[in-house]
Amino acid sequence: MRSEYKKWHEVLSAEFFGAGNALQSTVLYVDAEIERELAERVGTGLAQAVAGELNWSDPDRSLFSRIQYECEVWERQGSAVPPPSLPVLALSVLAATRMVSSEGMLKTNFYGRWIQLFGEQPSSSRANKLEQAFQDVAVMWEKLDIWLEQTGGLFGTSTVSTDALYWKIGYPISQALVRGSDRQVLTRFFAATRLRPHNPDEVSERELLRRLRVWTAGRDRHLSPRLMEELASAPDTGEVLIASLVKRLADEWDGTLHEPEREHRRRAVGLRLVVADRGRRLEWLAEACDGIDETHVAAPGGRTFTLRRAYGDVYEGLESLHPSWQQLGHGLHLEGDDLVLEWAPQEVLLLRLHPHLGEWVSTEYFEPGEQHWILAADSALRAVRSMVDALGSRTVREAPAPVLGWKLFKGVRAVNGLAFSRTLDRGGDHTHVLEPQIRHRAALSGGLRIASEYRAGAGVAGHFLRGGAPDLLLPASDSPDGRVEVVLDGRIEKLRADPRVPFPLCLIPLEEGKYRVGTAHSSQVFTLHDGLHEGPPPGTGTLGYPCDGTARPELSDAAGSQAAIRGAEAPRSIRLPHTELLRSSVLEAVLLDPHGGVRQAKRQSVPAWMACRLPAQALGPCLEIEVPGGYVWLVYRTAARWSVRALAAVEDIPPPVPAPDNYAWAYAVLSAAPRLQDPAWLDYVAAAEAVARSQGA
Amino acid sequence: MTDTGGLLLRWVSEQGAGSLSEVKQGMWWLAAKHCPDFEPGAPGRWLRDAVSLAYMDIDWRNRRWCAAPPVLTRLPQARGLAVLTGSRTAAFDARVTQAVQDGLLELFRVTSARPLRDIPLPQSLIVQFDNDAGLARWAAELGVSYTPCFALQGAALLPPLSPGAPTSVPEFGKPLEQYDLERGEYRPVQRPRSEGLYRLKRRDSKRVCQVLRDGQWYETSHEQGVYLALETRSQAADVLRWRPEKDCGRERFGTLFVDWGYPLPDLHRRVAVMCCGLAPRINAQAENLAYDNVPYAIANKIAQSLGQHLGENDDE
Repeated sequence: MRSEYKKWHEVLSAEFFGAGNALQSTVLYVDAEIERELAERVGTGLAQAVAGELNWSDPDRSLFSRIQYECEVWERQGSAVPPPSLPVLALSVLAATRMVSSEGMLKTNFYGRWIQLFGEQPSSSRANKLEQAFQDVAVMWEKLDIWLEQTGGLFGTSTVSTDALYWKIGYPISQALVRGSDRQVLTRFFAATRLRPHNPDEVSERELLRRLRVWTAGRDRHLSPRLMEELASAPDTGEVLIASLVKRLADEWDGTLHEPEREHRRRAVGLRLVVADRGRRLEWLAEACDGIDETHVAAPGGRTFTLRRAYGDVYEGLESLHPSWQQLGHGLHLEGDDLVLEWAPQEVLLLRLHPHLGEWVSTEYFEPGEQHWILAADSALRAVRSMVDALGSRTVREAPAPVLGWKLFKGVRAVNGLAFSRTLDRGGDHTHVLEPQIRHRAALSGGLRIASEYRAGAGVAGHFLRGGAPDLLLPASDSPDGRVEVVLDGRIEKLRADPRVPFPLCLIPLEEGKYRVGTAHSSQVFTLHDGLHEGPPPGTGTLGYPCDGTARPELSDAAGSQAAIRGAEAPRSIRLPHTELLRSSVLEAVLLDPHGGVRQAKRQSVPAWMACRLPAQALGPCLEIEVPGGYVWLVYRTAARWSVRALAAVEDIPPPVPAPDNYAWAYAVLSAAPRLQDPAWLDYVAAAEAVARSQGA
Repeated sequence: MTDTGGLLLRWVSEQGAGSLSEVKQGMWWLAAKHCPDFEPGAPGRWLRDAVSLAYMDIDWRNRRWCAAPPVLTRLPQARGLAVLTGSRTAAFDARVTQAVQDGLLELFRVTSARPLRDIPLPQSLIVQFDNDAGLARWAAELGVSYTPCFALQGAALLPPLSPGAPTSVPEFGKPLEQYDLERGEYRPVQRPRSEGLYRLKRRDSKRVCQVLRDGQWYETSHEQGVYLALETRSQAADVLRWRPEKDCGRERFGTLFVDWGYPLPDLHRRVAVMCCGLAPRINAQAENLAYDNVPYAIANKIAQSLGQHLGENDDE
């Protein structure tokens, strides 16, 4: 190997695979400018150095045979430094960066540029040989990728990618797509889209691409024209180079900004906007970063904020920074030594209710079926109005926003799947905010989950109450109509579903049992139950109002035998009135005591509230009599006859002691005299007869 | 099971206990499926009604809940009607259905009307009985607790109005709101200006209510706080009114009206609701809630326990 080639190898190794690249995604990006800069250090151009290693003389050996040999030696000796192929690979990237339509070449023509770099004439035999030999260069790329993987990130993590369309030439193109400045911008994008470091949520390739398109829509984010062009032309289906490249960068992203000059120290987080108090107040929300519990950030004007990690893994300290229309419209950038917080300006914002904060918080994607709010700048009002109208949701209403020049749309939902798909397909300036996440696997969402403690294991995604089966979130489709076939327990449902709309499993009548749902390629298992407990489930009745004379005003733990109000369970605190019920059409009724006392029971009509609210069967004839203490018999008359009922255990009924003039008492007893043969009653009958006789005498 | 309210009650019953945010998430999801017109406040209103109807107990401050034990309890002077309330698991539902089929239980399923913006409530299970002993026997057979008359028992246990534990002064500079008793809503204020009920977000992001009295801050719930604030006003509030029934022989029973903006605390609401076993009626025009079949004695207990005078009332 000549010294120029060796020098290039050293320079490229230091530049792209040095200590500073350890555990960072590395991209071997070499364009004309970088090549010039590095060439000054080496003293020879890259193409010249590589050309000097080519084997044109020995037809039995390949064009890159010398470098291939060096690579074999390198492998045998333990691969302790970057592979000797590095200058060849860098040259192929340089060729990829030149892929533009000019000089009679199309922008898709990689080999034309590759041949041109070696100064060969197109279609010449040497040109053909260079093109054929690229097969060997592709193998070198694959080896670089494997070496980076095997060294565990010590020299950086690989972003070498390709796809079915580009295949061999995809490798250099994958490196040529992302300039250093693009990488910086992309780390800002990852922060702004609130990706978590190393993408533990597995946000899919296409979802990242979708979000990147939304993030760059209508705004210059200073991504290179090449990357923007690839982004715009990437098809929506199939494997896409730009998507897999962004995904690799996202998977390796450690949450810091790509700032080599700061040694990649600063963490970056996208700010979220909170619409608090039912739409009356705005706040900024910053989610806390691991390892940074307290830090300072400053606004461009110099105002400094001290951030402290608070409950819910968010920072407090931004309360006094009131979101203004300028900030919403032009963005907000707060930075400190450890942290950069950024709000990317947007005209239309999607908000969803935060389950823990209980407020409406800006979000990256739409969840069809769930309720959202949209905060829209006046300039976008017409478009947003027409977009939400197209959803056909009856609950949408416009409300003033707590910031000048903006409006709130509350209650935005996509209940009607068809209208939702149509709205998305119709397109428009702001339709992107309605786009749901694009997934690469089937997932379950929502539903009425039970027995969550049994969730893990056995490949079951969850247990649900029958009638509350979850929604099936379908993976993106590769078919031309964009639809996927839903498979339920091996049966393909007739419906081909739009993967953008959650498939509502609760609308399929399903019995109790275990189900596998999804597509032919990706599925989830869940179970349905009517119930799991024979008796009250654990936890039932564990809260209550402890009672000690009176109940405590606040609810607290009330397990055990302590006297407490739990639901409608209450300790006996008072003596309840004794009531008697007569379920017949009673014409008159009296209560009798042993001393000749008579109390007339009032007839009652059906109360108005009962007539209004209860079914007719509950309104049959009934007399409910409250029995004061001391009364022992109830005597009553229906259309057919008189009757008598004891109001206490007969052995507890005292003997009668009426006064001789208790005629009404005697009349009542005698009316029902023959209706009971109990000795206690017969004593009363005898006493009544005595009173009656005294009246007669 | 197709009705939304019944399904939700079964869901909370089968879970036994849990966190408020999870139960609300489930409600949002279900409401989105079955209630096209529901509004954001609907899950909160459903939960409040579920507390009133004794289906669950909710510790709002600590954002946790539990299903209430199943209970059979008599309604006061309601022509021999009782209500079967509390947790309603699938096994429990099956036992009740069997008892009805076997003719052991005379039961009516009664719907409490709610506007379309709300999530439907479970049907109340109203039981017709002939005597107390029979009712207690049914409770034992169904394996549920028997409370002879929750409305009367609960009313006797209502605690007098008192502020909660003393607490710290709200942090300066943090958003603070004061409850406007006239408008019945919280309004942002720069700093505490007068005695009254305030709402703020604690460090742990929980929104809490605090009441300022005699220069001291106390913890409170929103509902207790409203009445604590009313108590300190010089003029009578007139937010609780009672109107006797016109029907013959029922002068001691009537309807308790509670104006919007002055909600009864959970336990007070439950006592009022357990007089008829159905959720309060919503009078949108008069802007109040109407609790039916409330004996004067109970209405008066509720008012006294909240430091209020029970007015008479007329508008519905």
